[in-house]
Amino acid sequence: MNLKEIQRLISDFNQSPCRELEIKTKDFQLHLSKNELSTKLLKQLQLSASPAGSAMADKLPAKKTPAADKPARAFVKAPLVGSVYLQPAPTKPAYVKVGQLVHPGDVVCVIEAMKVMTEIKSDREGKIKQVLVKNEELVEYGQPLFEIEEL
Amino acid sequence: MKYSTEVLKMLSNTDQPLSGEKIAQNLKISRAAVWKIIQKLQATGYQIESQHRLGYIYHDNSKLNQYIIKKNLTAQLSQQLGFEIHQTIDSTNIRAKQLSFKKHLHPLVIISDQQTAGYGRYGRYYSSPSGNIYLSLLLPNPSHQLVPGLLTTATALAVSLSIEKKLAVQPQIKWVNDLLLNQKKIVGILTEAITNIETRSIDQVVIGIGINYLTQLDQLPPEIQARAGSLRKFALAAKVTRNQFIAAVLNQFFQIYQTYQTGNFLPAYRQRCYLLHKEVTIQQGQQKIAGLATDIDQQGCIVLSNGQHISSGEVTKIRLK
Repeated sequence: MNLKEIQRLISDFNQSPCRELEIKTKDFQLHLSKNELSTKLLKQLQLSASPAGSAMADKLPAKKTPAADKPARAFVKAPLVGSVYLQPAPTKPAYVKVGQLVHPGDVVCVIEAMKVMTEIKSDREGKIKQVLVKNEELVEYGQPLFEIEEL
Repeated sequence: MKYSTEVLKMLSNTDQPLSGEKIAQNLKISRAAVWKIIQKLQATGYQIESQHRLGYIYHDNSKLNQYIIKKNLTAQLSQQLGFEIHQTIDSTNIRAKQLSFKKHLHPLVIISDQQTAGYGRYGRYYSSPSGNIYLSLLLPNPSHQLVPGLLTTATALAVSLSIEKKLAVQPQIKWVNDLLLNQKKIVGILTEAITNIETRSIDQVVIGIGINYLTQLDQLPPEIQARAGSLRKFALAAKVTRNQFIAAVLNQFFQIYQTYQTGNFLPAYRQRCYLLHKEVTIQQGQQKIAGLATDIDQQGCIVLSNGQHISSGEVTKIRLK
């Protein structure tokens, strides 16, 4: 691989939801990882979740938004990699259930990484339409956790 | 109430006896009022001795006292840290999270003599009898950057170093952040990141540290006695009070915390890491991963001999190799 190819790969990797990438050939090895939690990542995530206010969308000029009448599906996505907990303790009820109304700031689940518990909060008002992960499942960065039906 | 805090502060800040008259003059109250306040402080457990003709003298008897803690902190920390001391509370982490609704410029330290609803990972019950150390730090996170695996390993190392230096005994660290003494757990740490949906970032962090400091093992529930240990013997032998030890932990933690994101403390962490070169089983949700632990990487993850880096889960089995 030459430098150009590597640069392109890094940029593609940056755009992709992949968190880690490893390439090994006989005499070459490349390991890319986005495994850290930062504002940048959180922001990227939030932006990609709201196409209307997305910086990315702003940068793509003159592209018509298709089917503007059909609202985009809204998700709460994982801002970091880790184990997801859908309930505060094994014996307690889930943070949220399908059909439940959530408000901005409501805790919908907890993600644990390296013994750090992060309460994941909904950033919008709406109804939980789908729970997309299982309790204690390992989730990837950017993975949709809940689908929210905005009201 | 305000006067009793002032009297406690004056007595805590000196090693010399203070006469009732001097205290009275200073606070512009009567000597009888001073005497009443001293009696009340004594009744709540502060050890204040009245020496004939000399006055009152304070003895640090391990009753939690923020002025004694501050006296033992570095000058900078003593200025910056805010304290909230409780006799009993549901959980110092819950309290810290309540306080996180407001913005704080400087770290806050919440300490309790006991907890009625102490909890660990995934809401697990954490036994919290009186006499130990239940301490939560509420840290502002102005950089909005957080390296979870380095923060938790750094905290474990800070507590371990405090135990080594102050109590002359060598604990071992069980990845990620449990401290063991003779294979019995003496310290548990639970860190919680607080996200702010307006700034869309992690703007505060709560680190809860539970240390079995003075507890006697029979004070703990029978089901955990087999797995739990206590520093009591070492704390009594070294004559280090709870307040002095809390100050040592805070001094050590904030020293490492300044640069923890560089991972410069990891060599010291690895040295104390009990799992390295052992066969381990790591429970990750419903899944179990077994392998030989070979290293702790630059992010604090455990590395297995097959090259796998693991950042989540709990070590449930250790086999000596």
